[in-house]
Amino acid sequence: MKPGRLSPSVMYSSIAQYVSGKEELAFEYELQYNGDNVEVWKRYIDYHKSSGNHSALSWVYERCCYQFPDSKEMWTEYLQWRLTLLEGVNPVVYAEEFDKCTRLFEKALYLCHREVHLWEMYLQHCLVQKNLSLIRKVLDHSLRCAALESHLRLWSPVIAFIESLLFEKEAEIDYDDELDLIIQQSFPNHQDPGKAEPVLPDIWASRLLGRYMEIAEDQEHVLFLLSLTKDYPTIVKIFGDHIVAQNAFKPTNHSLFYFYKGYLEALEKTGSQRQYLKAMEVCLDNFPEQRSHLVITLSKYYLKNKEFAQARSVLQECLSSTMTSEAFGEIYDFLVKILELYVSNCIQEAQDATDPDKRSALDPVITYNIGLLEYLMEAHSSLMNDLKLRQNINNVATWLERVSLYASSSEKLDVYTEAILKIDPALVSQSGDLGKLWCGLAQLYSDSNEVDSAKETLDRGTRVPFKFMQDLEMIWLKWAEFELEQSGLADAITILETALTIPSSPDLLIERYHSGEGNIPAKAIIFTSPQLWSLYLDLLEASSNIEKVTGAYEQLIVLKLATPLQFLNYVKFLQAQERWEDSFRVYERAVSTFPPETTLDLWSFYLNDSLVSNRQVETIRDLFESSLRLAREGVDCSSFFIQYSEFEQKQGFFKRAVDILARGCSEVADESSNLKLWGLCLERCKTLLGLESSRPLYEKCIRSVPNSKAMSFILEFAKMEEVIPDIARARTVFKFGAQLVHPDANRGLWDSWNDFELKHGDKESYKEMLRTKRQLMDTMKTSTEEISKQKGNIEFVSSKHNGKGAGQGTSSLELPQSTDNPEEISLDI
Amino acid sequence: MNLLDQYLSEEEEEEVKSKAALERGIGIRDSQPRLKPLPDQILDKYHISPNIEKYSGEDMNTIARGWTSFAFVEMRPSHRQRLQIDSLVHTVGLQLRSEIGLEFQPLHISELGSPLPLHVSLGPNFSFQTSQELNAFAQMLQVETWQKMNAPFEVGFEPILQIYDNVDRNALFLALDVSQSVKNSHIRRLWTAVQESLDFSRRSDECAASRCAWTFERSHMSIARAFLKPPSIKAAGGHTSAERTLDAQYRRTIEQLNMLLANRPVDRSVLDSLRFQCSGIKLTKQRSNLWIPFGSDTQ
Repeated sequence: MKPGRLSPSVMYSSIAQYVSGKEELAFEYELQYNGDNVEVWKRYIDYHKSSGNHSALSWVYERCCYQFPDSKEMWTEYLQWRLTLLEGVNPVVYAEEFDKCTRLFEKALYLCHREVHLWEMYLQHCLVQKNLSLIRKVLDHSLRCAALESHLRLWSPVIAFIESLLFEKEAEIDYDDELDLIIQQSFPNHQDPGKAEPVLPDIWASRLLGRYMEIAEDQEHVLFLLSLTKDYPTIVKIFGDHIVAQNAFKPTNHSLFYFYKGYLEALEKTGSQRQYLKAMEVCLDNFPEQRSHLVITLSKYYLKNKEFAQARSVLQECLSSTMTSEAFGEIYDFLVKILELYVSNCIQEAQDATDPDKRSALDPVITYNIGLLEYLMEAHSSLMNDLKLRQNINNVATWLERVSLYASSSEKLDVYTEAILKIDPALVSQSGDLGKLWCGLAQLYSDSNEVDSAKETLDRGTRVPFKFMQDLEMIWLKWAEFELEQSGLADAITILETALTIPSSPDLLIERYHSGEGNIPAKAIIFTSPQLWSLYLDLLEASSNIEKVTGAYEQLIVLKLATPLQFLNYVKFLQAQERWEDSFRVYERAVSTFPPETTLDLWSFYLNDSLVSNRQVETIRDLFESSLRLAREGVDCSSFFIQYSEFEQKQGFFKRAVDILARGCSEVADESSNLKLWGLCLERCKTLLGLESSRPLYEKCIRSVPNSKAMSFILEFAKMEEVIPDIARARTVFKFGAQLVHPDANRGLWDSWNDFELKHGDKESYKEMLRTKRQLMDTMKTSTEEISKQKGNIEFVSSKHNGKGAGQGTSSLELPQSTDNPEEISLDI
Repeated sequence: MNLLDQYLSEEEEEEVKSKAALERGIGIRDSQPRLKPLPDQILDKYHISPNIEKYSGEDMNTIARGWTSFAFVEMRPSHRQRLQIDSLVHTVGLQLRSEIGLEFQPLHISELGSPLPLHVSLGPNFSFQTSQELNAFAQMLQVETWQKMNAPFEVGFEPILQIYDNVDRNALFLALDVSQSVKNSHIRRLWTAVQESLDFSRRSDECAASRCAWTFERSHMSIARAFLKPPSIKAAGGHTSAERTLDAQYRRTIEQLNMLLANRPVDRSVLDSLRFQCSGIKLTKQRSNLWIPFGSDTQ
């Protein structure tokens, strides 16, 4: 009898159980004659499938499989059907059913042992049961039976199972390191009864993963899973072989550091200290960005090995070499934390100790660590400053900040000295800071009455090849001020004269300095320093050395360094010496030196001084004419027009005075100044030349100013005509003004016209006025003026071409439609 | 009167205290610790100002490239020593002014009033064609100095002041000659170290003449300088008869001055106060000074 074949007794008892109907009997008879026909078996199976009798179907399936023992299709179909029956079934409660299925797989694979798919099904069946020994056994068996190229297929479900298993376990582990516990462990005679349970390694998974590693394509994932097993000896071995020994490992989904971290963790648990420290050294070299994390890990390692001093030492060492504030913060916080915990544990231990020797032995430890803790708290700013200097030794602001951290002069001196020796002036990026540092040092000596050292400092400071002029300028200024305080005016002037010594080719040096991109020291252009010149001139003026003062101002002007204010100072200085003509020559040079907008004030002073000094009338006229050219440059010099007009008025030239103002009205572009000038011009004209002379000016004014601003002039014009009296002209002016603005927005004019008509008109003229108003109300439906005046809008005006347009041909003055914008669009509304 | 003394105003009390302190020879601010002087390292780092003239030329590329250096023993006079030198220069200067109308200015203080160190030269200015030559010279000098000098020594001076002129013959220097014993022992060794380092490092020998002209026997420390008014004779010997006459006159003047000074020896106490300890030499290198300490017996 073939193995697996049903025994005759079983067979016959089953027939009695499962063959009861006619159909079943018919199938049985047919099988008696045609048992090797697989189609008959299939029909029989289909029959039982439709009947829903699982036991009978199973009986037939099994018989069929025995009939065709090497038919993998039949076995597969049968086993698949059996597995569907177990879907969702608890493998522990129904272990017997699962065992039956397992036995069937065994039978099937005994007969079809090379069938990979069947092995896969079997493995899946084992994995569902989570029967680890069975899984390993079946996997081993399958790997032995299957061809090598199929091995990955067989491993795949197992690895997926391991993955789910490890992830599940990983989620349960609490990784929070209890630092307090670690600190307690660091005491030599610590015994912790309540020590946390260690995490158990998953040796089953690690062994399988270790084997899988040999053929796996994605080694990174396998190593990752291996790291989750916590089987540290295996991790040390495999990570050591595949990651540390070979530098070729390049993970894609996880960082390389993750694996090294796992390796370190494994070494910590199983390896020797030498191995651990060596691996740590490798990590520190390979992952400088993880330095703080690694050092904290190392510190914890020492703590766990009861080496607190070593743990503290590595942290202190790292604190003084970190390069980022983040790393500094981490290390600092951790160091403070372990010190606090350690000190509190020491105190507790000392209190609990009964042995006085033990207590006295703890005293120096407590004192030292409390001292260190206090130092860390107090020196935080200083340590942060150290860090900033490590990041950029040439950051002068950081050095200045460092100086402020120390209270005593000698400490400050040490910082200044260190800074000056360590800073490379060529690499300083902020202007003025390095000069401030040198001045700070000089001031320190000065405050300590070390006059010679202060001078020596300032002297050396001037020899530094500064990149920026502000630095050198600051030192010379400081020195001059220092000498002024210590020795007096003459020495301070000597200092500034030395600083401002003009080189042989000043223009060339300035050009080269600015095109030299910081390669030429600032000393090359120090003679251009406005601040040094300013102080120099102030001191010279205070010294009353007229010749030197004049020479200095002249030099400043020749070098094109003089500011408008310095020109004015020079003028005032000369005037104080009663050298008026010289001062006017300086004014002439000043106004020809600066651009028009800058010369306005200079002209103002020049004109005032010229008027005060009673220069010749023609000279003053020439000056006014020259100054009025500013108007053409777009500068608002309306005050000069007014001043000129007043000057001519004083000379008795009234017409000329009015003409100058009228000229100003046409030349000054600024609207408010222009309106002011018109007001003044009309006023002066009426006063000086009579009312009728103002008519052409009014007409010109109304034509040139914007509609919105013209109304007051129109009302004045009408009033003037009324006074003359020329009633018809006054009425025409009213009528003209009325057409410029919508009646609703022109109440002032209509009220005045109304009063005018009541006073001078008759019924007809009054009606005409009302008619005009009504007509305008109808025609000027929308007041476009306000809208057009808004910024960015085009200003609308009444059409000049419309014969029926308001005001067209109605004015005997033939005043054209007013517009101040020739680009305005004409629309027929 | 005693009663009045008991009721002094605050200002008067302060004045009395100041006087008392002065009488005891103690400064008012001696109660607070004095600050250290400006460290030598800073003075050395910024020894020479940037040379702006080299940027003033029409074409910076045509500037002759070269490296110069200078070896010397430095003395940084204390406040007291500066006062001694001032007094010496003032006394001798008065005599010389009346004799030849020269105005000697002390060298320990700059024109702007800042203290300056003095020095004893160990040779003329050395020029090198390349920076590598200069570096080699500096390195070799360190080795030579280390080997030849194994302990600090004290520099003392001869009691007779001397007048020296410069190469350009536009200034005269009032100097203290280094004492014979120091010259013949320590300075000689240092001079040899410099010469040997030069021989080692320099490929060309263009300055051999100037090197030969300088010997350790002339070792001195200039303490004051007087500028000569033109005309001065640049070359050592003139070609025209007028130049030769001027040269002879110039030489005679210096000899006369030296004879004059020989009759007025410097007071021994002044010389003692100017003695200083030398524990290394300095070398100018790229606008800084390089400090070369002596070796030590203990090593």
